[in-house]
Parts: sequence; structure tokens; C-alpha cells
Amino acid sequence: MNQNTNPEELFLKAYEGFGDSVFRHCYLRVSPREEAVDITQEAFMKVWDYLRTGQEVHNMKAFVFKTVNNLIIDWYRKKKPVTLDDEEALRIPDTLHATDPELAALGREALTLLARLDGEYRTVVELRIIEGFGPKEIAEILGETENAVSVRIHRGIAKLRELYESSPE
Amino acid sequence: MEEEFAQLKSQLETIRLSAAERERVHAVLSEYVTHRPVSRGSAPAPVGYAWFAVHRFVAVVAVALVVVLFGGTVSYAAEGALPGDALYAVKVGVNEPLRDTFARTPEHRATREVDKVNRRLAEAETLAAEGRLNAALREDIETRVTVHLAAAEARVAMLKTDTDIAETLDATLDVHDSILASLGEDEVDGEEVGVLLARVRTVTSLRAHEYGRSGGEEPQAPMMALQTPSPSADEEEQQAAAESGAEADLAAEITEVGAELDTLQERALLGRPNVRISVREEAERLLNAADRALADADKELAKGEFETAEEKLTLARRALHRATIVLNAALRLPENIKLFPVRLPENGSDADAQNGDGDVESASVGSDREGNDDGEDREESRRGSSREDDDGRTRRGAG
Repeated sequence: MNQNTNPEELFLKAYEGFGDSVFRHCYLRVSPREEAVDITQEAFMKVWDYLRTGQEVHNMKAFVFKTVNNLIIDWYRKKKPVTLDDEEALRIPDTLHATDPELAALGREALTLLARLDGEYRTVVELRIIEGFGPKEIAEILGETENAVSVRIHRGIAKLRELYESSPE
Repeated sequence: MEEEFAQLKSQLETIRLSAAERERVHAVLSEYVTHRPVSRGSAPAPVGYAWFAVHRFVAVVAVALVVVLFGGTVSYAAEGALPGDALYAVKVGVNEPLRDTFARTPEHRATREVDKVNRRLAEAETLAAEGRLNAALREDIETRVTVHLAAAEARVAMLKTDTDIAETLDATLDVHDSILASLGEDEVDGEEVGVLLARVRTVTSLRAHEYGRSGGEEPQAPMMALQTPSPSADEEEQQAAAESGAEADLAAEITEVGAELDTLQERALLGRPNVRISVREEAERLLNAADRALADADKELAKGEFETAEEKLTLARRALHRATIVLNAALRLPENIKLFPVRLPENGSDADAQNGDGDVESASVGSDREGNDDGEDREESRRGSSREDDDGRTRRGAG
């Protein structure tokens, strides 16, 4: 690691590296699009606030995701104060399309399936399969034990298979 | 499985920030860190590992889940197989049916059929480009294409509201028409290619006759699913709210398409090793057309002309779609293939672009086709687009 690069640069590189990833995570949960962009931005700003105090961050991406997750939870609370159930519905974008319509259709089908999973399974499966985090990182993002996360991932995938097989043809 | 997944990752597009959005946020963050520097006395935050490695092209949701659900049962090695190869049976007998079963909605099923038409024609083209398309293989492909086309048309006809997939079918046929025509003129297997081309054109002209083309088509039903409140005709307030809702939705959609356009332009311009100039030029022409249409959509939106804005948006998406197919074709075909321009169902200049390559360099001129000089059209559209390009981009940037 090049110690000469300053933290500001590293931070901005983090944004360039996985800003889209964070945005996607928001976009599937928050609407309208503008707000998803705003939350993405806010998450990074918060992360910087943390970084500039000299705190250590071992896994930047996981840390940003953790931050954005909390922001999304806040957003949901503000939006639906009545719902005590924290299960955010997965937003299935209609505009997943055009560049390859068949893949887009496949994407919608897959997301529909995913949306039918229970909240806690859905989140870990999404973070594992779509965002590519390892169980350890997911544990860090969600504030749980790695063990619990691993188990949940396996169960989640099993349930996904079940849902797929039992869905009407 | 990990390796296959990684391969797929690099080919797919995704939900992402548009260029404008990305820059905007970047600017905000830059300001932010400038004005809030690391506190004096604290050590700079150490970095655990190279987390800033750039992964711009990330996998789409879908494939990830499909891989998970089907595990090792889909043989990705077979995906590149051509008629005559040992693995071709796996490709069409195992992989494709498997993907078919994953399609649950009528729309998805229709898209599956169109996809298969696309694949068969692509296989024929790859074979032809290698001089390997003999009569036997061509017949096999032709039979399959016929079946898939019939299925595609039947399913598309069943979809009452969704003409987007019909457009996909037409786009697929148009692009392959261009490629086959080009191959037919240069290649050893010209005769076999000609047979396939004739088949494609039969279907195309039948469809044109039945459904009309270009300006005659209705603007498609809006693809926006976002929360548009339904207007009540007698309530002025609700009407205004509906309009601003529809406007916001349309604006959002323009941004979305803009993001896709940016992604494709990156792909085109990144100049992968086997994207040849002529094909890349064609992709760029289509992308420029998309850019222009998008800029127009923005203008119309600003004027409050929602319907026109939507039409323009549709044009942009169509051009984008064709650009994608062209780019994908570029990856398969050898260097020396030049594309005849792809038909773009626009009102006016770019329509009927199915002509001989009017460029000076090209020796063969398709004199057996419609007589328009497309070379000129191309020039015009380039000039037009380079004038408008900045405007278009700026406008979207401001959005």
C-alpha cells in the first residue's frame, strides 16, 4: 500500500470504486431515484466524518454499506412511522431493461423471487450474491456473528430454491 | 462456478448512477473532504486492503441468482458452442430449456424466444465468417430460426400492451439483416447466407406489412412504474399533481436511459481488442442517435410536451438496443467484417438505412437494395450529433 496517498484521495477512490454498488443497494429499496442518490451521497459523507477523526477502518466497503443500511432504515422509519415491522419491501425497478432485454427480464424474475424471501434472509442473500460480500463482511455490516450469517445465507438460498420450484409455471 | 460467475460479471450491465449523477456526488464529496480535512494530530486512516480497486462493470442481479439456483447444471462452457460442435447439443438441449423454465411471465417468455432467434442467427454469422456455413448446418439453423420466430411472433402477438418486445424482435432482425447482408457479399458461403437472409427478410416484410414501421408506430405504453397518481379529470389540483408526477417519472426515465447510454458508450469507446473500427463506428452512430433522441426528449419535457418526450425516449431506447446488439456482434465476428448500417426506425433521415455502404473505402455497394445514399445520411447524422452532443450532454448533466 502506498502510504503516500492521502486519505482524501483514498476516500474518493472508494467512492469511484463502489459508489455504484452502494447506489444499487439504495435504489432497490428507496424511491424516488433522487432520494437513492442522496442517501448514497450522505452515506459517504458520514463515512468521511468518521475517517477524518483518524479512526481505523479495515474494510471500507463493508463500512460504507453498514452506514448506508442505517440510513435506509432511518428513511423507512420516517416514511412509514406506523409500520413497526422493519421489513423494507424490495423495489423491483421496471426500467431494468434495454441493454439486454432478456437479461433484464431474467433480472426482474430473479428480483421478484428475492422479494418473496423473508427480510432477514433477503438481505444476507442480496449482500452475498449480488454485492459479493463474504459472510464475515456481512456479519460486520449487520452487526451479527459470522456464524449466524453463514447459516442464514444457506437457509436463504435453500428457501429461494424452494420458492422457485414451487412457483407456478 | 466462481469462474463462470466472474466471466458473466464482465459482460453485464447494471443499475448504476448516471455519469451526471456520479459527477455531481463526486463534486460534493470532494468539496466535503476539502473543507473537513483530517483532524490535526490524528493519524490518517490506514487501509486494510486494496478496497479501492475499481470494479466498474459489475454483474446484474439476475445472473447471480440464476447461477445460485441452478448451480452447476448450466454448462457455461457450452454457451460458446456452434452448430456442429460437440457441446452444441448441451447449449440448445440443456442450457436454453433451463433458462426457459425460469421465465414465468408472458413478457419474459416472449423475450426468451426472441433471444433464441438472436442466438441462432449469431451462430450462423460466426460460422459464415469462418467460412464454415455449409448447407447442412445452414438448414439446421434455418429450421430452428423458423420455429423460434414463429414462437416469438405468437407470444409477442399475445402481449396486448407491451410493444417493447415487438421492438426487440424487429431490432434483432434488422441488425442481423445488416450483418448477414455484409457477410453474404464477402464470404465463401454467400449462397447459404443468402438463404438465411431471405428468410429474415420475409419475416421482416410481413411484419412491416402487418404492423407498420417507423413513423406509423404508436408510441409505446409508458414503461414507467413509479408512483404516478391517476388523474381525475374534474379535479384541477389532481390534474396538476398527476402532470408533475408524470413529468418527474419521465425525467427519471430519461436519466435512467442516459445512464445506460453512458455505459454503452464506455463499452464502445473502450475499444476492446476485437471491436473493429467499422463495427465500432456503427455502434457509435447508433449511440449518437440515441444521445440526440435523449436530448430531444429532455427539450420536449422542458416544454411540457410529455407525449413527444416519450416518443423521443422510445427512439433513444431503440437506438440503444440496436447499439447493444451491434456491440455484441462485434465480439463474435472477425476483424474484416464491415457492417452495412443498421436500420433505425426513426422518422426521417436514419430510416431506411438498409443500403449499400456509401463510404468511399468500401468496394461493394449494395446496388440491389433501396437506392438511398446512406453514406450521406451517416455523415449528416454525425455532423448533427457532434453539434448537438454537447448540448445534449450538458442538458442531461443539469438534470
